[in-house]
Amino acid sequence: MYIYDDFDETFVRERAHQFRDQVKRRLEGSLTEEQFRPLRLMNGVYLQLHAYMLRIAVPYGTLSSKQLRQLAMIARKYDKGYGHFTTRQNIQFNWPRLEDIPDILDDLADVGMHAIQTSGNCIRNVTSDQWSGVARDEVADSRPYAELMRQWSSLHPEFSYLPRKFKIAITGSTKDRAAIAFHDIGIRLVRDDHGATGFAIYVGGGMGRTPMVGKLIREFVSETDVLPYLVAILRAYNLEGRRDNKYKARIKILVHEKGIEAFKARVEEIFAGLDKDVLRAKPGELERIAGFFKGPDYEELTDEPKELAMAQAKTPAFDAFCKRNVAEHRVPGYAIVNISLKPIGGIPGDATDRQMELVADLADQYSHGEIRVSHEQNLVLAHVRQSDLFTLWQQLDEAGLGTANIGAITDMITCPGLDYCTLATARSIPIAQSISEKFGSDERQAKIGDMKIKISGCINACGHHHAGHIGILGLDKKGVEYYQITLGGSGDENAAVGEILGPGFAAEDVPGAIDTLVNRYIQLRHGADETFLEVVNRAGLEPFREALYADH
Amino acid sequence: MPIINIEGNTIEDHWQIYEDAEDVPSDGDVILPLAVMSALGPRLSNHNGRLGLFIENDADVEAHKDEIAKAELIVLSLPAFTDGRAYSQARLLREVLNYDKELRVKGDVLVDQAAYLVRCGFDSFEFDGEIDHNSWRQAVSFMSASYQRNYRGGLANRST
Repeated sequence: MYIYDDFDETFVRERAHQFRDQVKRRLEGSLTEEQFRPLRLMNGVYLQLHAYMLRIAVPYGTLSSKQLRQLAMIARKYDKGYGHFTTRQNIQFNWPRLEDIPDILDDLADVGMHAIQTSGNCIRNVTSDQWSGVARDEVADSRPYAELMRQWSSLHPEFSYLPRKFKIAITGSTKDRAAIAFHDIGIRLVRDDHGATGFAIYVGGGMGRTPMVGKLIREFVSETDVLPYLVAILRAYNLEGRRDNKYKARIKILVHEKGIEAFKARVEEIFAGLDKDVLRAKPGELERIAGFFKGPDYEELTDEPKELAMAQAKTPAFDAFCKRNVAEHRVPGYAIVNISLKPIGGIPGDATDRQMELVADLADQYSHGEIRVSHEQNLVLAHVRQSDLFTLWQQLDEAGLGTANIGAITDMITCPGLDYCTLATARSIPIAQSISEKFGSDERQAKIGDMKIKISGCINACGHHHAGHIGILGLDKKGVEYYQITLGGSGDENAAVGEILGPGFAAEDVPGAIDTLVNRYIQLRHGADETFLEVVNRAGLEPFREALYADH
Repeated sequence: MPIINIEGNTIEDHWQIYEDAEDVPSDGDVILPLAVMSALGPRLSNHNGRLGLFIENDADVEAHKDEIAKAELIVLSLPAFTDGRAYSQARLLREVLNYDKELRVKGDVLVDQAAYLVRCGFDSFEFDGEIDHNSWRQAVSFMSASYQRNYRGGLANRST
């Protein structure tokens, strides 16, 4: 993975020092909360319901074991012993004291981390496929480009006061595990007829109160032109994006109101006028960065070693783990291990300091000291020998990290909701917990198969409910929480926005409603291979609506 | 209102802004809004003094090359510190239109934005409010490293 040189380190340390000064001015009273607000937001500090929250960048979801141990230390020393992994592959701490945050930033700088641009109306953490570099269906590794974009977007002088926040996601695979269609800019690595790497660029996707699937703006942008092309899009947006209404300020609204053709024409016009040479990365820079992502020296192994098959046959729980949580690796004899942060009845995305330390140790022992965070709020060990899977699983299982539910009904994305968030209109975490408990049995989950439930505690859709096969949106009606259910959303390469089924449900009725939908699906499907989403797409919403509301 | 340069020193300013074409004198350093300069057109060729141009932040600077070519000072507007359009206007002026004279920003300038403004190409800064010269100097120089090499003071010195 990428390792800071002196230049990167100086940059992060100076930024931490600058923020220390800003916090000092706030604590002394020479900055008002109003003046301090945009400054703290540029550095990932939110004011939540009960305390400040600090969001730390995990660039494209990649961590070293050393970094993860430092996060564990921070959780223990400055927080309540846990952290929360987010849908943007970041981690946030919910209980730091403002006066401690400068020290936390120094601790982060010690391991090449920061909180730069994890909030504010600027370019946020560039996210990516958590299986980058190891997925079998990969066209090219997206991480070198994501790192290039991280550097390019850091304290960008022109794009730090945009109309609204700006999120970029990039994937190198044909299967989209990074939900690029729901980003302000989504990038897919492609190859041209001569095998040269380039970028298909999508623009204007997003969730929130106006969900939209990103539109293709350019089928192919060459490797050398990608930064200038991003500048052209950002410049068009910075100049023309709406600033009169916060809820219409995202680029998706500009693209929608102008039309993709007109917006594309404007971007191409700006792009044509750019002095591209100076906007490109320095010659050799991309190669320098790519050198960090060559991956470990893999051993020559073969797939499916005998001891693995034996362990699977002997231990059904391990077998279930292999089937759900282990994915194919591009190198024979290796596997991608997905560690679920969705224990049955637990809080999605939370990890304790001890769990973080254990995962760091396991990464050192079995996966070349590297950890990934997925946007679905799980962790990944990306280079595990298949022959090590059983011992690895045993250690995970002992620490409560062996839940075999990746991609299953209990692997839900959930926003923090009204338990933490000032924007929330309803709780999300307890809803996720009650659904998790209802569907927690391994047999039931196995029978249901692939299913993505996503829960947001307000219209801002941080829990990605629009992209859920089943989406749940928590709202407030005269002081009472109720939950609206959508069906048919998807965040993958066939991205779609879910449709509302009908009137909402009280919190205690949500698990029952999900149960009804699941049972209807089981009746409707043509065999166990037809997934929930496929059935919704084939049969439409009506049969589900009928099942849910027939008695009402 | 106070005007300072990059170093945080107050500038003695002789420029006068005229909102109405009829009020523009025949000599002196005058700042004219785009519309006024366009209205006066060729009549300005006899002007005895320097011409400055004030551009609102919703104007398309690329559509006003003629006016920009005449200007020895361009003033861009920052009506609220959160409204970042002037940063991109500045880049269009510097990068695309190759404007190389004085570029000024006027409005709700926040000291903590100093480095961004300087890096986008602004030379002078007119504050709506009070200005703390020392905070400004500190803010300009806080970061010695930056990644965007084409913006003023950008990445010239990565060790590799």
